[in-house]
Amino acid sequence: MTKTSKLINRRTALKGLGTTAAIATGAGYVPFIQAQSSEPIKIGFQVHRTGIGAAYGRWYDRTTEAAAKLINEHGGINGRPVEIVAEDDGTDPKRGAEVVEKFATQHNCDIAFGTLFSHVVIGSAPRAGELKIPYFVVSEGHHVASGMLNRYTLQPGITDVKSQVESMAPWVSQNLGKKVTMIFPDFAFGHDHRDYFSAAIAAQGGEVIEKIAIPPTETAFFKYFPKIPRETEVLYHVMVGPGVLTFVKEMGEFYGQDRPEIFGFIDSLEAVNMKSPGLEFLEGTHFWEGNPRYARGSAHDDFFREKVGVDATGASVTDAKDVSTYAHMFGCWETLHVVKAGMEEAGYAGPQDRAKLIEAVEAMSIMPESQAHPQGPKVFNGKTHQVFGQQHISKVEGGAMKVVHTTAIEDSFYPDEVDYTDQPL
Amino acid sequence: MRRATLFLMAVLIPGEAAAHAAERGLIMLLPTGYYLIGGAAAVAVTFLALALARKSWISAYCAAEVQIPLTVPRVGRVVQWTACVAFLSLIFAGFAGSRDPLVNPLPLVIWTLWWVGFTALVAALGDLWRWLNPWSAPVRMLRPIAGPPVVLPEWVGYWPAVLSLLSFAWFEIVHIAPDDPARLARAAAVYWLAHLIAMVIYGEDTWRARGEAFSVFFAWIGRVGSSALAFPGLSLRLPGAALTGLPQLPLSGWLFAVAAIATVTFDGLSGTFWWLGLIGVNPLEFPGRSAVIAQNTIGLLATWIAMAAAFAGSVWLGGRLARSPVSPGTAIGRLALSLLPIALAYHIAHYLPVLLVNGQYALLATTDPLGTGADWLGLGPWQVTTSFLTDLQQVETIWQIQTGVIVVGHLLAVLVAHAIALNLDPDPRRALIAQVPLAGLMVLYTVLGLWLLSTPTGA
Repeated sequence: MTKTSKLINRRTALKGLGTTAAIATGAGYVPFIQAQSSEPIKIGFQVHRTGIGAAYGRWYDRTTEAAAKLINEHGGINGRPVEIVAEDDGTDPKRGAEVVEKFATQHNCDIAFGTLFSHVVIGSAPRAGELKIPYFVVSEGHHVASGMLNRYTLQPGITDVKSQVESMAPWVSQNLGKKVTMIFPDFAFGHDHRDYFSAAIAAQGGEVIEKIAIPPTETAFFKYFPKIPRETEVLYHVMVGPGVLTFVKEMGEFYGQDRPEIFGFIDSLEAVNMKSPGLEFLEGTHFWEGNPRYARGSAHDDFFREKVGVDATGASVTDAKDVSTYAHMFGCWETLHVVKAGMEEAGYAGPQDRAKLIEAVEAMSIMPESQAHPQGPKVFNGKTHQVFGQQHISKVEGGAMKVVHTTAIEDSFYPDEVDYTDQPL
Repeated sequence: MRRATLFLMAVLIPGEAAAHAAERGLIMLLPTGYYLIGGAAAVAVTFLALALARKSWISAYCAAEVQIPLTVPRVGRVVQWTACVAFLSLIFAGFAGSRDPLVNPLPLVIWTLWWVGFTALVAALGDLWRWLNPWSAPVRMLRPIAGPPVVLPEWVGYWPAVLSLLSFAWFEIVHIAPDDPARLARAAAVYWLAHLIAMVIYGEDTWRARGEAFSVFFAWIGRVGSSALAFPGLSLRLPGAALTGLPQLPLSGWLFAVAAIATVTFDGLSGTFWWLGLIGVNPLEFPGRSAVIAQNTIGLLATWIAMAAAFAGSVWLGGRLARSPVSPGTAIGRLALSLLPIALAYHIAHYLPVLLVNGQYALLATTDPLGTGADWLGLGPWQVTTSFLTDLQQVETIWQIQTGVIVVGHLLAVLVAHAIALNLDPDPRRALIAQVPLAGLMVLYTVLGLWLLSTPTGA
């Protein structure tokens, strides 16, 4: 049982095969010769294979495998190949903590990586801190930068929801309107949007004139639309869950042609085909997108798409109807490249150098747009362990999404809420 | 303390949007209400139509049988040893293979290929478990060493099978990580060993008839369909007919039949907004299985007990209404077998999406079982897709298949119940009246089954 990590698994073997293939073709291959040890760098991948996160987990897995393959094709990390050791966390915080422990104590992983859902991150991070194993999360949550976690937990590959929401306010107020009505699910996720955006739009001279909280169990929405004030210029919606499509359909039936400007977060419709019946009403409305689903003419983004196997519409190249979780999954790719850069900077040779790795990542700041950062340039804040980047606003046109605005990174900054470097390593 | 604080904060400060808008979101756009009404009406009308049918027609339906003699080489032992070795290899893979439950063959085989696919195969072909179970071969080898079998007391009934099935269901539905390859390997190994010992002690036939859950389950499911592989011959019957001649089940036996439906029902129920609301969980922010272990354990048992009470109550009520001379115990013990077509139908319908998604992972694991990059099945480059769950047309097709399966299952159940009732009571009029409450329950369950497949879920 405790020896499982020594045995061959499918991924390891495939990686070995990939290596052989690379030698055979010679394409872009840098042999793993400069390293003193050719033992793989083991990256424990805490993946949502089962439970409510499984749909995201499938794409996080594809992206992670693609990034690891690319890194290995270019000589690995410090001359050592990367091995992804995947463990299912069941999208469960208790199981998540167990998985982190297995990475550290059973599989001899160098780091833990890849968690999306916040409750799993928050359940797992304390264990990572106790075991002193660097824990690179890809969760979008504000929990890292809020200071509730610890020095061993970092989020260098995806921006947090607070920065995303706040950076939307300038463009929304200047282009869509200043009188905003917010419709959000009545629990913490919706409350975050309400609070962050209300403050940010006020700073732009705008105002949230009505806040409509929808009970999470609601499945019919007609009765809420009459509460939207007539003078509303912008309707900001962040509905999630199985009711989203019904929400959009009923909103369309309520308004017909005559509607205010509508702004939403793609989280509502991540991995959902924009051409789905009932979504016609979204034509001409705007969405925040972390990484825009439709190709935007960026060479780095195109490279990323090709490697992960995603076409110009954000769907799988093997099934044009299989829409990816494109707005989020780049985070796995970028995080692995940050890990690589950090390990190389730290001269990382093994678990004894974990603290050096943390310090090396904390020392990072500007990350230019590149193949390693296809979503766009970023700035890492070593004190809060959170990365900041450009955000995109896209308009639905002809059932596709077209980027109409890209924010400045500075639009997403907010004052530090923690300095993790004060904590001992 | 620090952990507790962190947990509290976790509840208060979520990050990204949790629940996903796919499948159920699309099903919610479909006019599922009409399907529910239509399905219920179809079952009710069938019952009324059967009331007009002559008793002799029903008897003829049940008795019809075609025997096809097959000359099969004596491969029985080879097949049984192959099944045993395959099972043990899977256990080894669970311990030693990939940690990823969608790459490791053990969880894929047990939860998808066997529990879903094999069940469907048994329904179609007959009780294959009799030939492919992992015990027959080693038991035959160990029996001579153990001496004559100990007689299993009558009072034990089907209780070991009931306990086994409920434990299995608890592990599947409530346990925090049933897909974890090592945990599943341990659980499966313990299950196998415990029943191996019991079979050696009490004799294989006795223990498989009422001690080992899947032997009981597949023997019954094998009778729902039309064919029974009874080597050296093949026996073809009309659907459900083979259930009508089985003897009366004791309390533990009919409770097993109810458990076969109730466990899968609760698997569906436990994810619904309705259940999550009942246990005070925000359906858009499911906290993970570890947070609902007690609630779901109670829910699983409560569903079983409630369904048992509803079934037994309706049969008892029917007897009272008809002033039937048949004792309630006899009626319940015989009519319980009519629940099996429903159990099978809901099983297939409920797990169909799992089969479609994880079946692809199983294919990938089969084409490259050793992780060497091989492609034995010639699949070519294959990426698992779930687009059929996010495309309205395909979701509608899947929903229609599920509806069809559920309705057909209930029609068959009504027919089987009618045949059994006519067997029990020579007076057809009285037999008919006695069935009314049970038929009503089956109509209700048609609605419940379809509702479970269409209502929004959050876990």
